Parts: sequence; structure tokens; C-alpha cells
Amino acid sequence: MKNNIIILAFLSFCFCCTLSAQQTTPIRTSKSTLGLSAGYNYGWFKDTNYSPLIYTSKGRLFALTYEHEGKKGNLFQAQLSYSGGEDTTPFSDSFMADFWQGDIELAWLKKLNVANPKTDLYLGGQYHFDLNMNIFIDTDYAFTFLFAHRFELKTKLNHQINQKNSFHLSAAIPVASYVVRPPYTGYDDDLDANQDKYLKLVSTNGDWRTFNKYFAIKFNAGYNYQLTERIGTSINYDFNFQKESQFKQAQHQVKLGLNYKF
Amino acid sequence: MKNLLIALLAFTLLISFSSCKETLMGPDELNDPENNFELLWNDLNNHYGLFQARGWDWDAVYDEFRPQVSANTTNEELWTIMTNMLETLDDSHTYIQDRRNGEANKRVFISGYELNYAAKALFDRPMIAETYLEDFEIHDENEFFATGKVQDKNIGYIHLKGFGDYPIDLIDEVMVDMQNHDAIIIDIRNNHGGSPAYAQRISGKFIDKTFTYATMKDKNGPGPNDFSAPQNLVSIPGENPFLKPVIVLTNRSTISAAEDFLLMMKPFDHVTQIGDTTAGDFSDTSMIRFLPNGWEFGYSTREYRTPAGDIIDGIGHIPDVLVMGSEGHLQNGIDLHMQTTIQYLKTRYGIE
Repeated sequence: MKNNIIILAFLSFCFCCTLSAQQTTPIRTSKSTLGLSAGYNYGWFKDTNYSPLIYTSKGRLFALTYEHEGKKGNLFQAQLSYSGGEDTTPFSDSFMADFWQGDIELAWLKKLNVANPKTDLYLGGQYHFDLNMNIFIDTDYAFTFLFAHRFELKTKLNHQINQKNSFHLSAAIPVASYVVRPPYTGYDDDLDANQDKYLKLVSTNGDWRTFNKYFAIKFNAGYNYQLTERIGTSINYDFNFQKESQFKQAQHQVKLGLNYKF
Repeated sequence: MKNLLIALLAFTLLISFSSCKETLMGPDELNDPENNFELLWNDLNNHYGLFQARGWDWDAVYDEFRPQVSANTTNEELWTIMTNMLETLDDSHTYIQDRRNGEANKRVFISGYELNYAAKALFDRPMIAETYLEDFEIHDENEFFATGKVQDKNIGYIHLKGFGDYPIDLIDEVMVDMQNHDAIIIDIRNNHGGSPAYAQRISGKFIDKTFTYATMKDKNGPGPNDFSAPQNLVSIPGENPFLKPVIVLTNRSTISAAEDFLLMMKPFDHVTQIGDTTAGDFSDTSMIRFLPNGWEFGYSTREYRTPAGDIIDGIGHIPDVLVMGSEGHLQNGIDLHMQTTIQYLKTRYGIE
């Protein structure tokens, strides 16, 4: 309850700032931005290794972002995000499961030449670790996971509407991915022996895949409003989709955030 | 411009939220009797690990039961058809359950369990404790681990109701006191199994040699021959093992890891199995599986063999001394296993 109040207060603050703040201080060009955001994750997942049914996933979402602009205008981006909540299916209330999802993204994007001075276009690469865990609530004797180390092609567009307002769009798709999935029967002694060795668990017994065996896309659209020289607010929408032979997941994420430039 | 962007974003979100589930995820499973049956049959067809080992023809089972299901089959009828189908596997790691009305009102069917239920009913631990034992003590809250001493004799008694859900170190504490006994009875009647690691640790207190007690392979694909490479399962002795006479008591409800325990113990000359043949269910249960009608099920996914390559699933451990109690014995306060064991230790080893 206490957490919910804190999150609600944070979101309300961001929202109010976005809608009503007026600031006339000239915007200073800064090289680094640190952002903190919270929001809601809504989507679906189906994993025939776990169940033949489609589950609806709903839960909270938190993200920490960092962006640095280099001397030539190129961008380094880092994002750490976590989402957790419940999987439900209309077929039975007793089939409810917990889900945990985490992402680590590290990107380097080269600035491309664009005629419009208000628009910046970037293209580059990104390492994206995507962690998905789903555990049947009534007993831990049913679970599934997908850990993907994705090497992605990423593009981003920034458009400065005026001094305070800007929006951005980005999209990333993996070219090659190391994907770790449960064994065919869902469980084996190797998994049992390594269940507490998280690093080993997420990085062994996987296989390298490209588009034909693992497809994913992450699309982001965001709007920023600069409150002061250093502080701004943002609203972001992310769409995540990933698919392999047994696992399919689609998620919509909306988050509100505060950014600090330095 | 700002308003336009917000409107555009809101519109995109609205469209995305409301309309793309079917497009992105495809249609969900149908909750009708025929699809539920197909899902159950196919899941076992692709994952069940004992068709070859047990010699079951799963296609023939389909031919027998599929025509019994139609779009008009009621849930009750479907339950009967499915449980009859699973019963053909005679495998207590295979089950189906309905927990939609809560854990307290759940309905469970376990394949091949009729004899196990009958055997279970003939075991009365409080009666054994009162009639045959002294210093009887239950060591854990689940009442899985109990010990005592045969009345007026220097014979220890350990009852293990399962292999798991109690501190494994209990066996170390108990064996400190039992080292001076002339013999130990390890009663694994009504032992539903659990963790082979527990069985390994406990058996280590009674053996003095490392050896491969079984090989195991996991189903790793849908084809009938899709199995992982065989993995050796090794039994390892612990410190100061008890090598005086050990009697292991069994019944038809000695299952799974309890049968692994016997694989680890029986090769040793000082160990004797007294009782009934065990369940013959060496494999392991799958993850819980789900059906659109809200039922859950599970099944065996592994194939065990003896080091000689023999399949013992469906056969079980045949005792060295066959003893089968009856309701009559129970009603008269007699546990035939205990009586036979006490007599056996006297005649075979001179322990009185």
C-alpha cells in the first residue's frame, strides 16, 4: 500500500508538471540526461512449453534511463527496467501466475545527417538483455522463462518542436540473439542444480538465433516537456513483441517520468 | 501542435490496447470437450516418457477413447473418459485434477493408484508405535520423519513418509543415537517419494560403496525416440555408515524416490527388503499442465533403467521376504511387517 501511494504521488507529480508547468528559463544544451519513470504494463503471453492458453499480463513498471550525447552528436543510451504483476486467463481463476520482467539495454547510436535542423536521426546497435519469468502462483511446480541476449539494430528520431517541447520515436529489432528457454519437458536436473545460480541460468543452455527462429521488436514513442533548464518530464509508450516457436509475448507499456540534465 | 501530438499518442494507445490481441497472439484455445481431450492426448503423446518402456500403444488408446467424446459431452462424462484413458498408463506420476472450487474441494485422479490406496489403508503408524515401539518420536511438523526403538530390543526404527519437506540433517542427528543398535528397521511404507537427493543422503548412512544405482534420461522432443543421453545416477556413502543388519519395509504405496532409495540400498548384503512389491513408478512428474476447462494434469517425463539396462517402471521392487498385511491383521492390532521383521532378525541374525 505504501509503495502504491509513493508511485501514485510520483505519477501525479509528473503528470501535473507535464500539463501545467510554465517555465521561461532558456534551455541549456546539456550532454547527459538521467531519467526515472514509472508506469503500467499491459499485454499477453503464450508459451506452449508452459500452457496452451493465452494469459493477460498486468503489472507495474519502473525504468531508469541514461543518455549521453558525444562530441559528434552520437548517443550512448542505457536503460534498466523492471515490471512485475500477474498473469490471468479467463479459463480459470486458479490458473493465475506471477510474472517478472527485466530489461537491460545499452545502445550506441550514430547521428545521421538530416536536412531539418529541428530533427535528429540516429542509427546504431544495441545490446538488450530481456528477462521473462512466469511462475504458477498456487505451486512453483509450473513455470517458464525466456532469457534473451539480443544484439539489435536500433534507430531513433528526435524532433524539437520548440525550446520546451520535443518528441522522439525509436525502434529496435534483434539481428542475432542468444535465447535461453526451459528444457523440452519444462524442467530437468540441470535446471534444478542451477536454480540459485542466476548468472549461469541466464547464460547457459541457450542457443543462437536470428530472425527465422526468434523475432522481436521494441517500438517507443515519447514526448518530453522541459520544465527548467535541467529538469523535464516525459510520457512514453513502448510496444514490445517477441516470438519464437513456443513463446509469444506482446506488451504495451505507458510510463511517466522525470528527467535530469547535467 | 502540442495538443495534436497528445491526441495522436492517445489515439495510438487506444487502438493498440483495444484491437491487437487477436492479431498479435492468434486465437485462444476453445473450451469444448473435443479440444480439451485433444490437448490432453497430444500433450502426453509429445511428452510422456514411458510409452516404450511400458509398452503402451498411445495411438490405440486414442482410437478407443476419442470416439467417446463429442461436442455434447458433459464435463462429468469427460472426466470419466479422461480418467479411464489415463488409467491405461498405470502410472502414479500421471494425474488429472480439478481445483476450480478451491484446494479443499479439489477432485484428483491418479493413474494406477487403486492398489496404492488399498495398501495405504493397511498401514497404521500410531498402532505400530503403541504395539511395537518405545521412545517413539515424530521429528517434523509434516510428520514425515519418525523414529523409535523396538520394545525390549536393541533394534532401531525409522519411518519415512516422504523424502523431503524436513531438514535433511535430521538423519545425522538420529543416526548418532542409533549407531549402537544391533539392527535398524527403515519403514518406507506409505512413502509417496519426493527428492532423490534426500534418498541419496539418507541411504548414504547405510552403505559403504559408491556405485551407479540407475540411469535416467529425459524426454527431449516429440518423437518416440527423442530422449536425452542417459545420465548415471550415483549413490554415495556418508561418514560412519551403519553396516549392521538393515530391514527396509515396503508396501504397494512405496513410490518414486522411495523406490530410488531401494535401488541405492538393495545391492548391499546387510540390507533386506520385507513387505510387498513397491509401486513401480520410478519416473518423475512433469510440470503442472493446464486445460481450457480449468483442469490440470501431469505425467511421467523420464525413463529410468537399472545399471544392467532393465526397465523396472511398472514392475517395482520385489521383496526378499514377501509380507502382505490384511484388514483382519489391522483390526486385531497386528502389523504383519513388524512381526515378520522381528522374527526375521532373530532367525537370520540372532538379534533378540
